[in-house]
Amino acid sequence: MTKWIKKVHMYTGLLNFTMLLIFAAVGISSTFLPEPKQRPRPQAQVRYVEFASPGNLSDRELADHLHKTLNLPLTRPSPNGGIRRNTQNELEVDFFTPAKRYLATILEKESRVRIEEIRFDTWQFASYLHELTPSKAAPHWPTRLWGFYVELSAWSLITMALSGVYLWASTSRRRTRWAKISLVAGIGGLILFYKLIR
Amino acid sequence: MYRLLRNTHLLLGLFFFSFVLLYGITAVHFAHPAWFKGVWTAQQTHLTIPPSSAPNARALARKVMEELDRRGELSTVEETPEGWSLLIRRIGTLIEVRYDRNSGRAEVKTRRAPFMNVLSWMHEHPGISYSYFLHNVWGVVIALGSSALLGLSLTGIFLWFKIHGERWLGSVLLLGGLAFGSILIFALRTA
Repeated sequence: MTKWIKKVHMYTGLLNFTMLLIFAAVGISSTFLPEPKQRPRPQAQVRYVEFASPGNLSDRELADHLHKTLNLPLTRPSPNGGIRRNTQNELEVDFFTPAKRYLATILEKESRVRIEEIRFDTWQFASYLHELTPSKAAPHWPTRLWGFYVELSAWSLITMALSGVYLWASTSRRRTRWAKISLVAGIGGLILFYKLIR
Repeated sequence: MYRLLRNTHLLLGLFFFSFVLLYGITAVHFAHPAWFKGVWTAQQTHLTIPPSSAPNARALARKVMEELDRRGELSTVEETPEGWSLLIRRIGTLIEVRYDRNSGRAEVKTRRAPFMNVLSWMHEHPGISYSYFLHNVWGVVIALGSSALLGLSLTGIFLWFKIHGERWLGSVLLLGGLAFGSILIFALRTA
């Protein structure tokens, strides 16, 4: 039994090594970097696309129609929070990929759309990557596959944590004083923090 | 060297066991929120705070927390025709305050998240520049835990490599994972 659990522990770690590095990098960078909103906004690339706005559509329907028409790579329909009217009453719609944000503004009088393409910095990209689960992924193969990889890694974290403790508990090293102290201190610290924050 | 790294892997792993487990479980929570049932609770009360005691929103927030023995940090402030609308936050708890400057009446609604949401909130609460002390403590824990994860990954690779019988299959998994991840990262970054 221990032999197989050791293999599971090891293989899980090896298979998910890339994702573990990303999780660690995101955790460290998000501690020290300002939030994306507070960082300097990267220069947007602007382009215009012909777009005839069909009448009698709600903002939601128009945003979905725009999404289908533009067919921007790796995007999915904008969530409700990404659809709004600006001060000129033009419809603005956000579309996101892990690497960039597209801000599309429908210029109805000009029968075209202005598309601002804003590329995320490396850390913001990594942050998007680490939270891209299948339910959030756009229906394209890279995002879908990545979503499954993230979910696999989430389960792998649980597997590695539990199998790691099992491996320690099933060997003579379970009697090591420092190991016991580490485990108890870690669990105790987390419980204490939870109690304090509640 | 081997002994040192093996002990480092063991002690780091055991100390951060609960942290890694928390991150794994909450990542599953983010992916499948419907699997976890939980209900927010709300408690409503009111206070009378003379306008002289609350000359600004920050002073009002401090006064509310003092009077009701609440903790947290002022998150958002909105000016209303009557006075202010405030949101005070701490991980797992939201305190909404609506203050009427004329009457001095403050309506306070405290909303508390269920267990799993608190853990998920902890997951996505990095940083060390908060005004609430415990939030900064947690930010340090996240930085240490993430560094530990990096340390566990690297020492794990070393320990695996020392097991000669596992090198072949292990290399396939490691290189396969790296290649798979790298191709997808490239595809996502350049699309």
